[in-house]
Amino acid sequence: MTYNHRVIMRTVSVILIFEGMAMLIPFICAVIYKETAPAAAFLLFSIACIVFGWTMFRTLRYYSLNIKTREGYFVVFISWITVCVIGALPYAYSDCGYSFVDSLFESFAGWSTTGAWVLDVNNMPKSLILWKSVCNWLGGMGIIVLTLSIFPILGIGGQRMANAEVPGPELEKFAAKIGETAKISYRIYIVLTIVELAMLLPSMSPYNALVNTLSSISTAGIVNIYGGVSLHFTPYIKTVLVFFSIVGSINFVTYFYLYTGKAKLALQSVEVRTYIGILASASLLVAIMLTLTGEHGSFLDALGNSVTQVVSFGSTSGFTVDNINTWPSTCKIVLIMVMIIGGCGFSTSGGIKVVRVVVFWKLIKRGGYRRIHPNSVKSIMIHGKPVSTENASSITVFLMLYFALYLFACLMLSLENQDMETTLSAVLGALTNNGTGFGMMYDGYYGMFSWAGKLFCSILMLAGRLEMYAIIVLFSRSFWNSDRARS
Amino acid sequence: MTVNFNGVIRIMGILLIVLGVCMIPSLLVAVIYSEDISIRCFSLTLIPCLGVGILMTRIFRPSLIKLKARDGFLIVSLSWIISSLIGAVPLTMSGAIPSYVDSFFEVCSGFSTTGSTILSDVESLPKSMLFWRSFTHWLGGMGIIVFAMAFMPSIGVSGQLIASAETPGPTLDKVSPKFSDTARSLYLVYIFFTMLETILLTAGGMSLYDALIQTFGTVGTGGFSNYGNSIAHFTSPYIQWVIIIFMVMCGVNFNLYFTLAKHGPMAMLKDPELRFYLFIIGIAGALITLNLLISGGYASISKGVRDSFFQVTSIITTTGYATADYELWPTFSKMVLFLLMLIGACSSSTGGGVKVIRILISFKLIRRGVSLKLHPNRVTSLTLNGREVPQDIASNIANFVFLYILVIFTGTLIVSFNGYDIITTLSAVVTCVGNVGPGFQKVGPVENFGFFSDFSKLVLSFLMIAGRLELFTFFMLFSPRYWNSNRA
Repeated sequence: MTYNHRVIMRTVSVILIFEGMAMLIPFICAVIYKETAPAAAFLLFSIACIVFGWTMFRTLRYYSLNIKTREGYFVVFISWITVCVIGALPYAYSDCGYSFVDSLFESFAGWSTTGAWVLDVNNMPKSLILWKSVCNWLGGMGIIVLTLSIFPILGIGGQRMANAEVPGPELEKFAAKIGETAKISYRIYIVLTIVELAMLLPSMSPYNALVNTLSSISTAGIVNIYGGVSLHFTPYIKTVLVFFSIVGSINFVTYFYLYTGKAKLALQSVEVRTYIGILASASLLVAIMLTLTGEHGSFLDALGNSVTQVVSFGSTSGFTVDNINTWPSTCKIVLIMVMIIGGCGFSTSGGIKVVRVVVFWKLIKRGGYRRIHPNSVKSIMIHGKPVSTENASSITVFLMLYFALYLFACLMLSLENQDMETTLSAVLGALTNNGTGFGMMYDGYYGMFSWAGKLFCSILMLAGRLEMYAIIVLFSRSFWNSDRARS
Repeated sequence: MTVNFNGVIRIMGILLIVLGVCMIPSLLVAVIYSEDISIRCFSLTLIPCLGVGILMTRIFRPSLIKLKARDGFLIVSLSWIISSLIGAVPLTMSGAIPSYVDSFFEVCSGFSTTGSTILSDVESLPKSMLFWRSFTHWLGGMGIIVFAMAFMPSIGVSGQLIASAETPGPTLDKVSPKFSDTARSLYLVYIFFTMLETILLTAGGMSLYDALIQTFGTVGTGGFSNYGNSIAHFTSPYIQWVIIIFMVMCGVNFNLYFTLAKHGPMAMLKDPELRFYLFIIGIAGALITLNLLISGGYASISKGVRDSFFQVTSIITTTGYATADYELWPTFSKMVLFLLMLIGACSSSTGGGVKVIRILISFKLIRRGVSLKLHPNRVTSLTLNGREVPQDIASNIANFVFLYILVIFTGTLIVSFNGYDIITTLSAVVTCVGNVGPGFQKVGPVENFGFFSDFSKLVLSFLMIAGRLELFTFFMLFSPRYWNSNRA
C-alpha cells in the first residue's frame, strides 16, 4: 500500500484536536446541570483528544503534498470513522449503562445528521443530548470542510479530498483555492445558526433553543425531548424550525451568490427552484389527502401539518409532528418520495439530491426521444449549459449504485426478521440520513435491531452521508493495490 | 411526417382475425363440456371479430409506404389494449365475471402473462372460460404480433420493426434474415415446449385439461391456474419439479435454443446472461432453503428445497405460481423474492421484469463507474462476452432502469389513492409492472386483487400491459412529440 501515512495522520490529528475542543461545550453544560459522571467523561476525553492530537500534529513535519484521489477517499473514510468512534466514548463512559454498540449508533447517527436514536432521550443526561446536537451541527458541514479551512495554512493540498467528501455532483468554485470556499461556507453556516438561535431564544429556555438550533440547521432532526414535537412546540417555533430546515437544505452556493452580491443568479438556480417546487406540490397533495380523510380539522390545519412534515422529510431532517403511521397511504408515499429525493447538493441534507433527480428526469425524457429518433444527438441541459457526458455518466452510475445499495442493504437487514415495511423504512431512513420512516420506524427508534443490525445501520448512515463512494471504493481491488488496476 | 394510420388500421384488422381464430379452441372446449352459455358467448364474440377483421383488411390494402419504428409503438400498444378489451367480452357476457372492469383486468393479466387474479373462487368458473383465460397466457407469452408475423407473412409490413417494439430485451437477435421466418422458428420451439410439458404432466397423472391449463401458465410464464391454491393443489413432487424445470426453460432467451440446436450445449452455456440467470436461481434457492430450514419452521429438507426452488423460479421467471404461502416465510426469504420480482427473466423469453441482461450490464456500469472515481483518467469500455457493448445500448439500458423505477413510484402513488397499506400497494404495482402475479400482504399468493377499486384495477391493468411492452413502447404514446414530429 503506497499511502502517504503522514497526511492521513496529520488529518486525524487535526480532527482529534477539534473534536476535543467540541467536547468542551457539553462539558460546560454538564457542569451547569451538575451531571458529574458525564462531566468527568467529557473533560477526560476532551483533554485526551487535544493532547494526543496536538502531540501527533507536532511530531509530523510540516510540508506540502499532493494528495492522490485514492488517498483522498481513504482520508475521508478514516476521518469520519475516527470522529464517530471517539464521539461514542462520552455516551459509553457516562455511567448510564449504555452499551458500546448503542453508543456507536448514537454517534454515527449524530455525525451523519440522521437523527435516529436507540437510547431513550427522556432518560439521557442533558449534556449528552447537547453532545448529540453538537455532533449534528458539526457533521452538517462535514469535518473535512472544516479542516479544509485550516489545511491551506498547513500547506497540504485539499482539492482532491473535497472531491471525495462534499456532497453534490458539482462544486462551483468562487475562490482559487478550495480552502477559501470552505471558509466562506462555514462562515455562512455560523451566521445562519446564530440567526436561528436568536429567533428561538425568546420562546424557549437557552438549553432547548441551542439543542434545537444545532440539530435543525444541520437537518438532523429535532430531538424529541418531551416525547413528541407537537406537544411542545408552538406554531411560531414550528415555523422557525421548518424555515431553517429549508435553509439548511438549500444549495449553499445560493448563499455564495447572495454573499457576493449576485442576487439574481441566486434566484435562477434550477435546483433550488425545483426543490421548492417539489416541497410545495408535495405539501399541497398531502394537505388535500389529509383534509379528505377528515381527521385534521380544516384545510389550513392540515396544510400546516403537511408543510411541516413534507419539509421535514424533504430536507431529510426526520422530525414528526404527528403519528405518521396513521396518515393516508398517499401521504406516506409522497413523504417517501421527497425523502429519497432529499435536499439540494452542497447542503447539510441527505437523499439523492435534487440536481441528480433533475438529471434523472431529463435522462428519461431523452431516452424516449431517442426511441423515436435513434440517430439524434442531443445533450441534457441545465441552466442553459449542456451537461457533459462524464457528468451525466457519473450521475447515472450514482443513481444505479444508490438503488442497488438500497436493495442489497434491505436484503441484509431483513435477516433481522422485522416486518417488510419496517425493514424497508429503516434502510431508507439510514441511507437518506432521514432517520424516520414507517412501520415501526415512525419515530426514528432503531432499538429493535440486534447489535449487528445497529452496526450495519451505522455504516449505512455513514455511506449515505459520504455519498457512498468513500465506502464503496474500499471494496474495490484497485483501491488497495494500485499496481493491480483492473476493471 | 406523422403516424401511418392506414397501415395501423390494416394491422388491427389482421389482429381481429387472429383473435377470432384464437377463440376457437375455447369454443371447442365449451362444446366438449357442453357449456351452452359459453358456446353462445364465444360464438357471439368471435364471429363479429372475424367479420370486422376481414372487412378491415379488404378496405385498407397494403400500401407501399413502409411502416416505421414510430408506427410500431402504436400498433403494438393498440393491439394489446384491443385484444384485452375484446378478450374480456366472453367472460362478462357469460356472467363468469360480471364486472367488465374485472374481466378487463383478468384478461390484461392473461395476455401480459402476469397472472394476478380478481377471482376469489376460481374453481366455480366454467371450464371453457378458465381455458380461454389460460390460453391468453399462451398467446401473450410469445407475443400476439409475433404470432401474427409467424403465420401470416403476407402482411406487407416491416415485421422486424414492429416486433422489436413487442419483444422483451435490449436487442432483438436475428435468427434468420426474414423476420417472419424468425417468428415462425420461435413459435415452433414454443409449441414444442408446450406439447412436451403437456405430455410430461399427463404422464404424472394430471387430466389433459388440467395439464393444458398448467402448461399454458408455465410456458407463457403467466401463472393462472384452475385451482384456488395454485400448484399446491398438486402435491406430487414429480409434477412440481416438471413445472419448475419448464419455468426455468421458458425464462431463458429463446434464441439460445437455436444456438443449442446448431452448436450444442457448450455454446449455449457460454451466454453470460444465461449463466448469471442460473447463478441467481441457484443462490436465491439456496439462501431461501437455508432460511426456511433455520428460521422458517420447515422440518423436511426435501420439501424445503422444493418449495424454495419452486418459488424462486416462479418469481424470477415472473410466472407467479405458488406451492406455499410465502407470506408466512421469514422476512429474509420475502426480501429475496421481492428482489427477484424486480430482476425478472432473460431477454427474448416469455418472462417479465427488468431482465437479467440489463441487471448484468447495470452491475458492470456501476463497477466501471466506481473504478473511474478512483482512476479518473482511465479509458475503459464495457464488455460482454468479450465483445464491446456499444454506448447507446448501455444508455438505453440505464434509461430503461430509470423509467422502470419512475413507473413503480408513480404507479404506487396513484394506486395509493385507494388507501391500502404501503406494502400491498407497492407490491401490487411491482408485480403488475414486472408481470409476476402475486405480491405481498393483501395481494399475497393466497389472496386476490378483487378488493381494489375499479380505478385502481384499470391503472394496474395498464401497468401490466406497459410492463409487458417494456414501458417505452407504451408510454411513448403519451408524448406530444410522438404524434407530431414537427414538434421535435
